[in-house]
Amino acid sequence: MGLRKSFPKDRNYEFWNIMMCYLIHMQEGLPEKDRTLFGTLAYRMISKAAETIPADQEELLSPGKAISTPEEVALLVQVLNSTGHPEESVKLLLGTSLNMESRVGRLDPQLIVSLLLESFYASKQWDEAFTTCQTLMSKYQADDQIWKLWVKAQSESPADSKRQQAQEVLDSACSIKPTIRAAQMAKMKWLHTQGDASSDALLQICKEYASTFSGKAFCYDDLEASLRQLDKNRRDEFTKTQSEASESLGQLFSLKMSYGFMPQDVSTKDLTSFILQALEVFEKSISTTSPCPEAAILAILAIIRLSPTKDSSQNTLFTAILLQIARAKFEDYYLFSIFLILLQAKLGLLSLAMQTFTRLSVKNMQYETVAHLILTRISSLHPAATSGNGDSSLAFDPSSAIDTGLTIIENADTALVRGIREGLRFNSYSNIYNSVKMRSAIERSMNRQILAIEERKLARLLGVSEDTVLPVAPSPLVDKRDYTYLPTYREDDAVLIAQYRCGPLPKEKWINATGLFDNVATYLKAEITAQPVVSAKAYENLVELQKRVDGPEFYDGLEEELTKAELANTECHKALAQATILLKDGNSESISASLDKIKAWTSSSLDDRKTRISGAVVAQDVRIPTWEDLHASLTQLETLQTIAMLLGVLGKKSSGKSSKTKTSAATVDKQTLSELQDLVVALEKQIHDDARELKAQVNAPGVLGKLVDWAFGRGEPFTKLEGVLEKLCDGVTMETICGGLKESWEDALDGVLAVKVKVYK
Amino acid sequence: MSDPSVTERRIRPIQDAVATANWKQALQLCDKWAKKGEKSDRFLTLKAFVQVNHPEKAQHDRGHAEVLDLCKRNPPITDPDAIYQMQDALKSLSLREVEGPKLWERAVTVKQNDKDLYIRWLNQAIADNSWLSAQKV
Repeated sequence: MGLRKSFPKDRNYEFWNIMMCYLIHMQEGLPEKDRTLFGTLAYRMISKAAETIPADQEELLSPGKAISTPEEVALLVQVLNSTGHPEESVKLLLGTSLNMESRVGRLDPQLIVSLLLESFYASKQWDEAFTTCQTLMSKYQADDQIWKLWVKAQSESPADSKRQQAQEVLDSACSIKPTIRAAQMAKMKWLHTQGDASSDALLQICKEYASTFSGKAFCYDDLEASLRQLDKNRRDEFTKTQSEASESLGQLFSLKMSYGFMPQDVSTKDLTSFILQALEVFEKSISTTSPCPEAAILAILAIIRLSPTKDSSQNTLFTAILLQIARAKFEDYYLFSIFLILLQAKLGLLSLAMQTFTRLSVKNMQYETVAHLILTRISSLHPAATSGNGDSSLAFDPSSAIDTGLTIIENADTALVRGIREGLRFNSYSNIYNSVKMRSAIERSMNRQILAIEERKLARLLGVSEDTVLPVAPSPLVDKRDYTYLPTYREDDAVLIAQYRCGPLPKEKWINATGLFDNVATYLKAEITAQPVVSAKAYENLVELQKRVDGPEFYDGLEEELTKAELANTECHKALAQATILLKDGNSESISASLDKIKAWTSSSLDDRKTRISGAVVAQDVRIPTWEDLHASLTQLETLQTIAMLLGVLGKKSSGKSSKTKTSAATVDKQTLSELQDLVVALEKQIHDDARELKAQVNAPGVLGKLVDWAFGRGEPFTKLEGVLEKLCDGVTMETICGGLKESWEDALDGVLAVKVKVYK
Repeated sequence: MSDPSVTERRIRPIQDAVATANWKQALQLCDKWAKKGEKSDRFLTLKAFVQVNHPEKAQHDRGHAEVLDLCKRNPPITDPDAIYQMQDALKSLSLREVEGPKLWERAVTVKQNDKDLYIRWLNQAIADNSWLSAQKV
């Protein structure tokens, strides 16, 4: 390193050099030889810096090149642990030069503890870990990380003597008043590892824990794993000892217990009485000092749990309205908004879902983790902006939201680079590696690819001209979409909630399939508008992407990423890509085979529409558009537009207008072209007719009344709930809510009607 | 040694032409100032960059050779702006990853006490995510 040689007096450059060697060691994609070499270099240099810490620490005037700050200790441990020397970290962190009482250690004892725990996990020195934790506990009794390692160490190296010792430590720590949460949790965890013989003890500690903490929101989460370990008899005993709680948080705990431990095949009757109970707790708590909106979430989960046996749209509608009522009472309770977005979108109420989304005030990197809630498939659900129905703070424009998201992701790189530079400048080494890792994650962000595709789809649907080309996505991609904010009271909650998304989560296959189609569309458009640079680049990409989607492995698990409509369109898109390639090569004979496939897709889509009634039935007999109808319509229109462009290009070539391509031998028989043209027109008309028909259904007389009745629980299986619902919401408000639903459905259908296929002649 | 303010004045219109991808005009301006004896590194590297991006193959090839010569030149380029310009030229030739860091390496061998030059190198290596290069700084 030149800096170090040229400025030998500056000790920071020593550590910079170590940091760089460490980063090379950690960099993926470099030859193993280089990584090992630089790892060894970092290890040697930092070990030396640790060895030279002067013994007489109090007298230290100039640290020289020895480790002297907590940040340098953090770097030391990072290097040692990543190069396979965690036992040296342990030794140093316990030794006189770096332990908590040392000169450096005293600057940040908490850091030394956490580095020590981390190193013990890496070194697997369980006996030492056990004793060390025991010593640390005297000082940090409430630190659950220490307890966690202590339990782990004990279970990894079980000896009878230690078992006895552990029992004593736990008994004494758990008897301390006021109760230490970390100690009680540790006891539960420890008992999990002690086999069936300890079930009674586990039951006992659960009871003790609940008696102290049942009024706390975290109680159920803390106890859940332990209660699941207990057999049914003991669990029933636990439930019995829970005295009728009078205040709402205690009641909430009981509700969580009932919901969490309901049998898989719970009857509709039991579920509905649970829903009633939960709603009553919610309703009664509203005006108290400890309100519990979470009770409404439990009610909602229970209602959607009814769905598999019943028609799901009916129950979804009921739930969405209930959520809207609940949210009106607790505007800031974000879970209401999250569930509302999911359910409203599922019901085709996209403009409402978008308004709900704006209430979440998503910002910064949440565009990477949370914004997918509304932005996934937005182009084929609701491409247009929504005004927010008079409330401009609720206005939402998908295009500009995606633009914001992409800008934030792109700017994050600049911010991270700055962070790395500042980290070096101010000698704070501990976060540099994380920033480096995050940069590479953002570089390969899956969400970024999805947003980029959606942005282009939106632009095409809205008729915004675009003269750039979608690049081929790198592989593998990093998925940072987050779901941890969703509640899980039962193991199957996540699966249940996932059913309420608008289609499966798009991943790499979706990105490749959609990317192929995007490049086909770009290519054809560029051919029509005579943009040779764009068309050449798009052609290159589409050839590359076609390789990715060709072959049987592409179909493995495809339905886990694509919706039914997308799957149906994929075949047509592949034929379009094929036709485009043949067209470019001037291969007129084979092109007709591709055109036949495109024709087959168009006519089968048309037949399907003619034989099927679109929409779903809610509130006994009201037909409404669901997300699936909107999505199928918009993706078909998008496909039709691209077919129309292909026909335009083919028409141009066969009529010999194009002088540029000498290979314009790609003359296709005129009849095929005109047949396909007719089919495109017919399918477009059918899609629009279907949308108009649904619009008429939504606007039919009496719909509002039916929706209101349904929302008040005046239909099975919700009749028992009518009483509590009437307490939660008055008739006028309910009419306003249901009127809003009608408007939103109309708006969504108008979105379909607004997309018109442009014919190129 | 050319006068920096004169160089600056001459370079600006070339950069304007580059900004609008008007390579032919940029090259004409370069030739004009070359005849007047402009020899600063900033100018020479900008000219090589213009040539590399020129649509005519002959110019592009001449630029390619010029860039390689500048990379190997003794004494090496030490003006940071000229080095940045070279990085852009190397990028156009897809040579930046290999040759880019070497330019900094050569520059600091003749300016061993220029901390600013080192830090610029480091900053670029960090932005490029190139730790092998950063380690050499």
